[in-house]
Amino acid sequence: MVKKGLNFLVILALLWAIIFTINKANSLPKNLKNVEAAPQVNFKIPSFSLTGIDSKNYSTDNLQRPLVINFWASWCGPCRIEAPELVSLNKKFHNKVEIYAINLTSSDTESDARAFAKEYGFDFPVLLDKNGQVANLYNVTAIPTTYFISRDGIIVDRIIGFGGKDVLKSKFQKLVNIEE
Amino acid sequence: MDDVFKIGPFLISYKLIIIVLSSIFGYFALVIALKKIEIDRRLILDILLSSILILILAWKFGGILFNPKQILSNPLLILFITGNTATLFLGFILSTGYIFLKLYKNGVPILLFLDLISFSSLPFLLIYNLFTPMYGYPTRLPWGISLGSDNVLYHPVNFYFAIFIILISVYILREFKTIGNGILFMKASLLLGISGLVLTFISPQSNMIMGISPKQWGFAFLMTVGLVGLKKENSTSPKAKID
Repeated sequence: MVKKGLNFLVILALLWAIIFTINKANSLPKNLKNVEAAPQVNFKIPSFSLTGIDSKNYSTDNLQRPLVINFWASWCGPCRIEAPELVSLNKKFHNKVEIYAINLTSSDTESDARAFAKEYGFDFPVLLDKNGQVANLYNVTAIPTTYFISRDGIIVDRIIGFGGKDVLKSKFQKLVNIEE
Repeated sequence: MDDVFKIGPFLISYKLIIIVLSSIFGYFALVIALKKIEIDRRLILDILLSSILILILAWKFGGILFNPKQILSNPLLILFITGNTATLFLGFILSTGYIFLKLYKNGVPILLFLDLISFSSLPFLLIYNLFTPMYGYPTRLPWGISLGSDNVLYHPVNFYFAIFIILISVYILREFKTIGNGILFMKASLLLGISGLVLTFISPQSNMIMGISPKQWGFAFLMTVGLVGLKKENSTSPKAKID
């Protein structure tokens, strides 16, 4: 039994070494540079520009740090549970990760969105998607939906729904680790 | 491609429909395989369906174990929270444990059950891959698939995998007479592992763990199971009787 277990580990370790070497030689980032924009993991982020509740303009061009895009609405139950987690993660990853909280204003109201942001103390940009164009661009069919984007504009992960506090935190951490 | 089908006011996840469709094919393939051997059909199907139910429940509600404090402070979370990798892993452990316990209690050879699983999982994987687009690296090959605009074509990794699965299925079907000693399962694992792993090298990988992606870990694990299991090819386990 022990011998079998040992065999298993040796073969798995050998396979790991082979795959690791091929992955390194494959130079993934070089291949990704030519990839087009699509709301899918490993593709470039579809670019957009929206106005925030602070009347400033925010866009996805020239990202200075990794970006987390969160689609939400004030009437959405899971968004209410997720909101305090986003605020706490913004504090934890301040200066390392940017958050854009995009309100689906086409199916919400601007005043409700503002009240929600105030209630939960959103201290990151809250953008208003008034005609639902950005939600369409990102194929948002359920909320909350969260995209995790590296500094070079590649989507590295996506969560549909609220995955829980720890899952959210681990995705933020992963985003920071990619950049380091 | 959209993630959902819109039927009136309802949104139905495309992936969910494909998984259900693939499961139906997998189920009927298993029923056909069971007809060809002398075994309590109902028992095997019960064990399999119950284990799938355990997997789904653990994936969805496993959060209670991982975040008890959070769930207790807001019980509604249990409805809103989606499953994650940890709860999926928990589901696999629980359903595997259940399968082994039931097989042991009912005196069903585990190796026979594993062989039967390969008859069910190959059609499942075939249907799933035929209808779930997976984009590889850009290619100039004429069969490349596009994301909408025809400017860039990508390797249709899911179709490549479907072709591999068809070939593996043909091979496994030809070896059907050896069912019962686990060799079919080991061979299917090894071949699926090799073909899946090769395809990961022509598609972008993410969420790396120790330099290799979760998919690559999965395929390497399958390959290892196959290789280690096949070393026991001269096993003395009894074969099932074929009608």
